[in-house]
Amino acid sequence: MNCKKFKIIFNAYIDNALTEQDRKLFELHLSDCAGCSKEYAGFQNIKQLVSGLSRQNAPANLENKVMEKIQNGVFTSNPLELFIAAAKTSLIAAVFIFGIIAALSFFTPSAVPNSKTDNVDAMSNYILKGNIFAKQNGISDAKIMQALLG
Amino acid sequence: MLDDLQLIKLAKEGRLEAFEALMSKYKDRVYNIAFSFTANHSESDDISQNIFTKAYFNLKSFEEKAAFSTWLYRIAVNECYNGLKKRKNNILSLDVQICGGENASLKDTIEDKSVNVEDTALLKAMQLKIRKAILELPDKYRMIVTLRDIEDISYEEISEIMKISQNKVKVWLFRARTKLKDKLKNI
Repeated sequence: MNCKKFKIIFNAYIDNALTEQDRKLFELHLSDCAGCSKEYAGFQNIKQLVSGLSRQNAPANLENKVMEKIQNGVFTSNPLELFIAAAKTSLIAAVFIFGIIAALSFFTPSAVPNSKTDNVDAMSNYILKGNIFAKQNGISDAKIMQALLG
Repeated sequence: MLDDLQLIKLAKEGRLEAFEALMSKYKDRVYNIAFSFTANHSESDDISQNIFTKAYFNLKSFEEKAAFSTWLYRIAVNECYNGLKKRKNNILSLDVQICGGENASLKDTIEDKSVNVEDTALLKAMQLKIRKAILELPDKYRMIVTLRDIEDISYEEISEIMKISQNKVKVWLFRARTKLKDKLKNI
């Protein structure tokens, strides 16, 4: 393996994630290559520095606070999240109500007459009566059109 | 002493004391993850509370295919990211006290020219520099360094927690450590 390939496995070596064979090859290369050896030392130093940070323990009252939230059924303390949750609930309720209304409208017979079918007979009758009236009273078609068009 | 699965079973049955036992076991690790990510005690406290509250209310969705710790840390990662969104910016405030139980804030340490040369003071200052360097990393790199180098979690478990491939874990870790190496080259 060349240096480039070794650099890729620096971290795996540091984290003990190499196979036995790769680990031996890596160690052999480190002993021969000053450049890789120096760079590896840099990575190892970082690992040690970060791992060496002092651990932070949870506050003593953390459990009490959590148990209080659980017992009160509080899922979140964030007002924005509460608002989003409320908005979601409202939206679901609105969709549900709209669905019920739409379903009722769909299954209930329409009260509005269909002009294309329902009123054809009525309109025909109306026109027929109009024509009879006009003839009986000597009103010409031209006068009817004039009256209609204003 | 009951193991995690036994405690989860009892907690699912509504036994709060079983969940309390789980919390006692994991609270410090969870808090430490939150603190490593935020370097802020107040935020870490809030995040930790949210993690455990969410874990409790979602306990029924835990299917026991993975370890409880993996499932819990997954919630922790999400909550850390969520906490981040609430922040106005992601820059470390120099007024934030970042060392627990210690009185000096980062600002004090940096501004104080007559810093005590004793080992403890030097160590404290060095830790502050390291935490600052970690905090300056992009979110995903900060999280991966937290999980691997601070919590000593394996590549395999990290890939499950962060839902990324193990190769990506290695790549992100390499980039994160390279960035840290540049930032901390004077230490």
